[in-house]
Amino acid sequence: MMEPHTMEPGLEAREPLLEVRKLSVHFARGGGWFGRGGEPVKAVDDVSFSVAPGEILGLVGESGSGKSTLARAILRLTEPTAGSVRLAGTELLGLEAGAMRRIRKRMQVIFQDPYASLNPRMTAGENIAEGLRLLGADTRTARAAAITELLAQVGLPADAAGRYPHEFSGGQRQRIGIARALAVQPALIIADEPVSALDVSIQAQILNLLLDQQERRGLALLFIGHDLSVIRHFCDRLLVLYLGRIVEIGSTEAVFTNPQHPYTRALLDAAPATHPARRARADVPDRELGQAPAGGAGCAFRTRCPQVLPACHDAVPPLRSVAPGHSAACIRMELPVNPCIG
Amino acid sequence: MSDSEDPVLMLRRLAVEFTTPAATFRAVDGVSLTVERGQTLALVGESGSGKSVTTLSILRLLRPPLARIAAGEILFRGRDGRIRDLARLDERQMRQVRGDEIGLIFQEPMTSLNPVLTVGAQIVQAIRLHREVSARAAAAEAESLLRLVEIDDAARRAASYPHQLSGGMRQRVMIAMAIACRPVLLLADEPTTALDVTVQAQILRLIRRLQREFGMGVLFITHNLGVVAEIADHVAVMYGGQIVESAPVATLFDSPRHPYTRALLASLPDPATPHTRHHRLRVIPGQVVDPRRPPPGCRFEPRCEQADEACRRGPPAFVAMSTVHDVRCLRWNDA
Repeated sequence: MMEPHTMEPGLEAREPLLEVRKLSVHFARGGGWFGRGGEPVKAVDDVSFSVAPGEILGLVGESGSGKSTLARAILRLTEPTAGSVRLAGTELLGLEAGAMRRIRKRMQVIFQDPYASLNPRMTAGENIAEGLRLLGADTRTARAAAITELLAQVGLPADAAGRYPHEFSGGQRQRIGIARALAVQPALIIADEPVSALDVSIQAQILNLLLDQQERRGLALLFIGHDLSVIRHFCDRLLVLYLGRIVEIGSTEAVFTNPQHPYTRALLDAAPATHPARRARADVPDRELGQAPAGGAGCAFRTRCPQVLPACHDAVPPLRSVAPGHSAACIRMELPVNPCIG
Repeated sequence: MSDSEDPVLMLRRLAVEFTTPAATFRAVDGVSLTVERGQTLALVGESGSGKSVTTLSILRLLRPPLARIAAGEILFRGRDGRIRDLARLDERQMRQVRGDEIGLIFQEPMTSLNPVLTVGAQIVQAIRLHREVSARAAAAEAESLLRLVEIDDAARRAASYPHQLSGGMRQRVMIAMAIACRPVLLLADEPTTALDVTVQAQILRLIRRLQREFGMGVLFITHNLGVVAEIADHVAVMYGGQIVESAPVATLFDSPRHPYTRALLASLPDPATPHTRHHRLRVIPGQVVDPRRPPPGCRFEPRCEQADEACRRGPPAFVAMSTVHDVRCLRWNDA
């Protein structure tokens, strides 16, 4: 199957919808009792990637990996320290508030807990209408028609418009959240763990709904998740983040079948089995994220890596291409024989 | 439920009634299950299935008059081999059981740990609440418990406060407290739900190891079928306050008989299946049943593809298909 987003010759020319270059978000450490100074916390550090129109890019990593900070930085809900974020060619960093508001219509966000993002004092219809007003649907009848249409698209009856968020189940609220995001006809949706809080029997409904709308509208999605089976099913391409840096990026199939970074392999090995006959046997790293080094030279994963080498303490390994469209940041890839494999 | 070899816990037709200003309803309605010594029973269900209410009733932590045990027995065989019905114990007697013969771990250890006490001091408290040992001996034991749950540098960690520890480390501390008195039964209510997959794998491995070493029965409550596949010996699937299917773990995954279990397994993406663009998952239509308004017949009937008129007429019985496999479905014998 041809996938427009893999870096096949001739396709790089296609303009990416979202282009993130050398993006960093650093926070000053400490303050208060412990005084200022010291190295800043690099929540996102020198991250570059792009999303093609209509592409679904998955973003995985443990808590503290910087997934949500990266999403917030793209939306400029957190101000990046350095780098560039371009949406359809327009640089977002440094854009003044009015222009930013206009361009934000092109990218919407869906959260894990739709209840926290919907206004509880507004009906479902009013929540959705917020976006429509931005778009210029200024008559009441035009908005009502648009709301009914959006509700139908997300599988809710027209009379849902008059009810309040608390009257809906979690899955229905996520449908309202999706309708509200779709209302402004975005080109990109950032979905931050959109099914993680839902009942198992509802997850598939919402994933299918997102796919329906993605195809119908040619939407691009940046999908943040932690359930690797959902990621493999849903995402075309995958980006693995570890302590703010990309450790591996590639097509979902390449990353799942031929993971290059020891951290990616550890994540895949740690995923729970789908059948009791396939119970975990592989060793997952025993050390947790909190025990990672505060800074210094070297690979950030070196304190947990089962295959650490002396050279891993010397410098941060850069992302290197393994195959077209597949890169990883591990010095073992540069060794003549890759001892990670086999 | 089958006759069991060596049960630690047996629920018999447990019913829990909730009373709200609007209505009185049964959040748990006729639940029977058995946890064997040295075995893990996974109780699986979605929101409103009654799985957490079941746990709270075993611990007698329901708050009357809002919630009360309306019927049934909670037969618990303690360390001395004597069988007691926990549903009939008073609060003073229950306090001796909780944290001593029954250990508990919850989803969010941060809310169960005391933020102003070091974790060492909290483990000491847990030990001395049930046993007469000196503070010094308890402190030494707390340290060895921390080592038992695979915490490095136990002496230093004992002096840490909960907020200084990672989520996984806090869950290990909770487990240390839960096993401090060598319980015969461990209740684990979604203990890995808030954790990263790597940490989840470590915690599951730890629980399995401790169970092997101490021979505890484990009642493991979860909504995650992957976790079930990792840890369970036997599985009970709850829906709308009832157990709809109960089987050994391999049987449940290989030949589920209840339409809900089947649909649930079919709706999960398979991590071993290569990614295909535009591929849709199988879906269970509708919403999870509201226990306040159960349908008159089978509780899954409104969402069931195989339902017919008989399923709407009355609730199906819990049928024993074999000595170890029970199912609550009229059509259990269909292919």
